[in-house]
Amino acid sequence: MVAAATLHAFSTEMLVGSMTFSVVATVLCFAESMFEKVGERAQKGLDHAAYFAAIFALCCIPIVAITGNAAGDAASSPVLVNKMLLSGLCLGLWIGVILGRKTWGPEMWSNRKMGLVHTGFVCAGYTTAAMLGSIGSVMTRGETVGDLFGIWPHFDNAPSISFGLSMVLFVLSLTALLVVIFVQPKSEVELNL
Amino acid sequence: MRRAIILTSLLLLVLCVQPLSANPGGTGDGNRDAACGGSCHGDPGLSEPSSAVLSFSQDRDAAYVGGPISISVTATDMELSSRSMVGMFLLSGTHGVADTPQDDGWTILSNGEGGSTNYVETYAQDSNTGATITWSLLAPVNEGTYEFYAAIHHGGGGSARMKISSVHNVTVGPIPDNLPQMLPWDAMTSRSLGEESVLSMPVVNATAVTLEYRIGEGPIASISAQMEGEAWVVTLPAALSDIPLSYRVVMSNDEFTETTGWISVANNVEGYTADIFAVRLQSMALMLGSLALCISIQRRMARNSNSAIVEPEAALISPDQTSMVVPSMAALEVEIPQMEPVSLSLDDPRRPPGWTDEQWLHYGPDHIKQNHGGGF
Repeated sequence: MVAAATLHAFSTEMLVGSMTFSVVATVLCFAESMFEKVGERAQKGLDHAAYFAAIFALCCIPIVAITGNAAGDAASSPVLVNKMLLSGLCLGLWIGVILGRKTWGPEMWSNRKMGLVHTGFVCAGYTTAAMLGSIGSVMTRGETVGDLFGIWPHFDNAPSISFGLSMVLFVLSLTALLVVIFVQPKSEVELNL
Repeated sequence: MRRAIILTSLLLLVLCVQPLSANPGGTGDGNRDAACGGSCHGDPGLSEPSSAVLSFSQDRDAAYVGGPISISVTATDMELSSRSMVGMFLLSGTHGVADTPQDDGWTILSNGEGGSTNYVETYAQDSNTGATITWSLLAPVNEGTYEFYAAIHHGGGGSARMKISSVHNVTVGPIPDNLPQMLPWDAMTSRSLGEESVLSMPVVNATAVTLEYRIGEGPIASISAQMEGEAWVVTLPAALSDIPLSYRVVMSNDEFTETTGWISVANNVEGYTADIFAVRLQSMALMLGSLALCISIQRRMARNSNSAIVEPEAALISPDQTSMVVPSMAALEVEIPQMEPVSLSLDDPRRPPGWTDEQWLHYGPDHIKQNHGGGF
């Protein structure tokens, strides 16, 4: 048998690798939409690479979360609690990234504003994943490359929120999502889908 | 040429990466043999020699059978990593197996760091000051000369390093008649904050037993123990904050006064506990919230000035998205000719059932464009 911690390390490496690839390709796409240096064909290729790498990374996130959950006892560790919270944030941002790209398609890069927003979300998702990796590094090796930045958080303390308040937060978030999906006016692209 | 430069630069960057040591954050205190950590600190391919100077000192010249003795090990002049962490061993041999003091019959009452293990991790302020660990021990039941070794594991200069000292002998002699003595005893080395500790000490040949305690290296306070049955009992006051408290037992009679080494007490600060189901809910809330934020911003950014035309009336909102806009009839009259300068038949078969004439004239062209591909 392979320990959950080993599987966690393996799936984390797959996740971070594909996410990094996706982020680099996305940033290059955005740069091309700004400076138009390498041509539309190259941009389309980069866009597809970023999209499929993002989908692969999304598939890895639940595996990483599940194996990580099995590898440690989050109930007694504020660091692991922070890992769980950041995992949720990372998953949400990354689903949003993929939904956005699926909705707008490669034509998204012809709208600089959209391209900027998309790149921003990709970078935010990647930063969250980097923080998760940094926490894991501090736990296993006692240090993180993030320390080089000087302002990298260590997440030694976790919020202590009761079950009731957590449920309220969950219901509020779910309501917000439903309102966005069903009440917020759809854009033209979505209406024409 | 350009490609070659980029590739060469990348290769150089890879070569510039320093080899990393295995556990720069340490592995925690424990009872460990000399071979522990050898795979990293002892591997010639991964490690380098340590320049540490290890020295022993003890609180008395010799110990009696079962009697107390404190052995201090000081390490100086070693290389230090940025974390300044060192791991120090007190060993009874260097074979790699069964070479802890306990294997030779010694009892470790305290390692000076709130535990009773032979391996302790600590921090050195600098290499000149070094680090000192004091072990408080009870001697074995057999007389003789016992060997001790000190070892240190540390990092520095990008490599794992280790050093083992030369032998240090401790003589365990016979017990003088009438010597006050502590029988084998599990010393209290940790407790919860705010909790008094009742210590029951199996001391023999003593007419008075005193518990001395201090905070850090501060002044020493003492409490007399009372004989209760076969043991001397004393209560160590509670600590109200996480202070470095240590204590020792002074046993005396008319002829002798015996003192144990200082025993450090770790304060068990109340551990963190979380309701894991609540954390999962918070995690899902964050996921849903961030997803909602993503979708919302994407929609806002993608909307252009014409988008209001294709939306149903209920969805029309003001440019700042804060209030509903109900278009007036006058506005409708103005907008219709602007949209499509074509006539729209009121009995068009593509008109959805239930639409009023006004709705059909206003939204009809769009409806046809969206659902029937246009064409009037």
